Amino acid sequence: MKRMIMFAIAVLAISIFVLPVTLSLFSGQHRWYNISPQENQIPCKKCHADVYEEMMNMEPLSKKIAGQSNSPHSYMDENCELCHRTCFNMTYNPSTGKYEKFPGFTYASGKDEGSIPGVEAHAASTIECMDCHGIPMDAKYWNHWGYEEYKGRCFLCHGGTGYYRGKFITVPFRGYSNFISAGGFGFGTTSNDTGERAAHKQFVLDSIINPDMEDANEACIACHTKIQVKLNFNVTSSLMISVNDTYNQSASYWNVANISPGGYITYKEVKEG
Amino acid sequence: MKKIIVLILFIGVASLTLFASTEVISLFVGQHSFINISDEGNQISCVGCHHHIEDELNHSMIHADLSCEACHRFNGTTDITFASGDRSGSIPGEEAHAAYTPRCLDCHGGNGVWIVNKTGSSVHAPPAKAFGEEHYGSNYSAHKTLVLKANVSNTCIGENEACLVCHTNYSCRISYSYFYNIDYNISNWNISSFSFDGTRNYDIQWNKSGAKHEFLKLSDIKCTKCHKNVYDALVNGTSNPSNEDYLTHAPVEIDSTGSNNSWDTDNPWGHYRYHYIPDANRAERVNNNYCFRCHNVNKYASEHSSENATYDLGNVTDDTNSTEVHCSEALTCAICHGSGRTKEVIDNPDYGGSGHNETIPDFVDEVASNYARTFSGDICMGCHEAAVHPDDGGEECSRCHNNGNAAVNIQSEPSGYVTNTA
Repeated sequence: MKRMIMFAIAVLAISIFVLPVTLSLFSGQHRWYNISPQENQIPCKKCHADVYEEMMNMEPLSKKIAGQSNSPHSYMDENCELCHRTCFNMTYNPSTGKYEKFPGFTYASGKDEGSIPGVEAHAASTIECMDCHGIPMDAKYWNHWGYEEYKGRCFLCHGGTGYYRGKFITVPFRGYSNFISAGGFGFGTTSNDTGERAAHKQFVLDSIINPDMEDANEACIACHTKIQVKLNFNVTSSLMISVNDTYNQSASYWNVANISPGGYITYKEVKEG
Repeated sequence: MKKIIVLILFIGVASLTLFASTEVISLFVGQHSFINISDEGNQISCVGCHHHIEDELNHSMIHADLSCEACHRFNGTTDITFASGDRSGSIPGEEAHAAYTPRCLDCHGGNGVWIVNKTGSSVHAPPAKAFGEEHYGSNYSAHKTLVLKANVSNTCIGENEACLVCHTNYSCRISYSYFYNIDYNISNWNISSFSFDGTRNYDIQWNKSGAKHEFLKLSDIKCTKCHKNVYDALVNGTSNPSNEDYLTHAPVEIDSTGSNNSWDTDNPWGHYRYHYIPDANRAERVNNNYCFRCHNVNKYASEHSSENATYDLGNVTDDTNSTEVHCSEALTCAICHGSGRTKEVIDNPDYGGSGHNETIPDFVDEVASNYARTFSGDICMGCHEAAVHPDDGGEECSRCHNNGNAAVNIQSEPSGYVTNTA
């Protein structure tokens, strides 16, 4: 038995020794992407296939190619950089309660012969929904129509004509002014954005403070995407009312002195994806 | 030993699998599955986050036929511009984004509004009588101060606290404070002295499910739940073994029936007493209808044709302000029983002495004019509680009926105990 084992080990050792093929860890690591053409050559979906799949499931591809999708995000399926390398940068100012314009980030780029080192971000940034949806208008602040990532791709947001997946398509026109503003919270996204009656404003304000996502994104995606949401509600179920009879000999009235919450009930909600 | 080898082998394989895995573990899965909102109507499910409210509405007697949007994206009278992505463009919200918290009076103010329900039918949201008018209507509405206070309170939007506390299963606790008793002397139907004393604190708790979206039908709004002190006074009062219980809020006409039998039977005018309820019927009959007999005569008359004819309630309604109130009128006895009123005090045809019939100035009007509303009813009850009226007649009869003399001490609800002496 021992002889057999010794023999097997010897054969195995000789086999490995004479094997002409090199076993390589991380094969392909020396096949570099050429990033000097204008468009992004690094496939985001290689690592983010799950995100790509979500984007592709929004609308049938045939509908998008036919230019029949009214959902701007549906055309971002393989145009990640429109959002994640955006030039827009809106930041909430708690003291004014409004979103304000700030210069966009400098992303790393290898376009043409030289290169631009990234500053605030390298390949991509985690964006705030309000970077795009909080803008009243560009007004030549970012000059986004000249931004490298956006050149020739106006139709993907504004509607119009252009190439999508190699096909020349026409997307329903969506307009240029206030066409994606998330108005109604009083954040100054349009000149008429007062938000004075908004039911969910506190949800948005609390989301801005919450560190789990950028800015108000928790609130935005909770409603506008199919993400699962678990909510713990604690709501008033009772009022406490103090009523004092106020009187002298000749006159009286019932003074409702105070109305305040008198009790709460708690319950959980789960919004399925 | 074998177990250890197997364990090491398992850990090794698991590590290699994890190391070689190309799967990305993603946080917040679904955040890139945007909901297409470009079709007509609302594609973002309110119920997704608000199942609980949907359940409440499914158990509601009113509004169960309405969608969330019918109320919370209502712009018929509010002129709110809500955010919308319908069709290829979009409308940015202005006053609200997805939804607003409505004031009940947005739909129930003015003349009410027409809204489309879940089945596509137009339904009318009726106006809230009086409270839906400018400045919440007349000052005769008993609950107007509640609405005014609700409007400046912060628990709900607008006046909604007041609406919800009566019209939904929102629970409430009410803490009342008012006088404990009054003392007064009457000499020849003139009040010669008057004083009030003490403070009575009375707390009620109307426990309901707590659901703000479970709206009640009108008949399920129980006056006596919030006014339990009045209910307790009317049903229980203070025990008086020798006669009737002391029951404030249930005055009797003073007539011969009291001395011969009890106060429970017909009065000398040939019909059942309007206010007084026999002992056996109190728990059953002290209900909304009983309250409306005085506090909303117009409503009571319109819903009770037989009583309307018997008690001439059409004319009584004209004496009251009940057509101008939301549900209940704040009143004094003089509204119906003052000089020149349909139910002006009249003399008892079966008994001697004129009482305060035809006193100049009118005794009932004098009480209402010179004493606070909170006291005036109890001043009347000092004589008109069944329990306080003596059975034996004789000298005692002439003290009041001929001379108009009395020294009265009466407690407020719910005890209502009275002493009426010379």
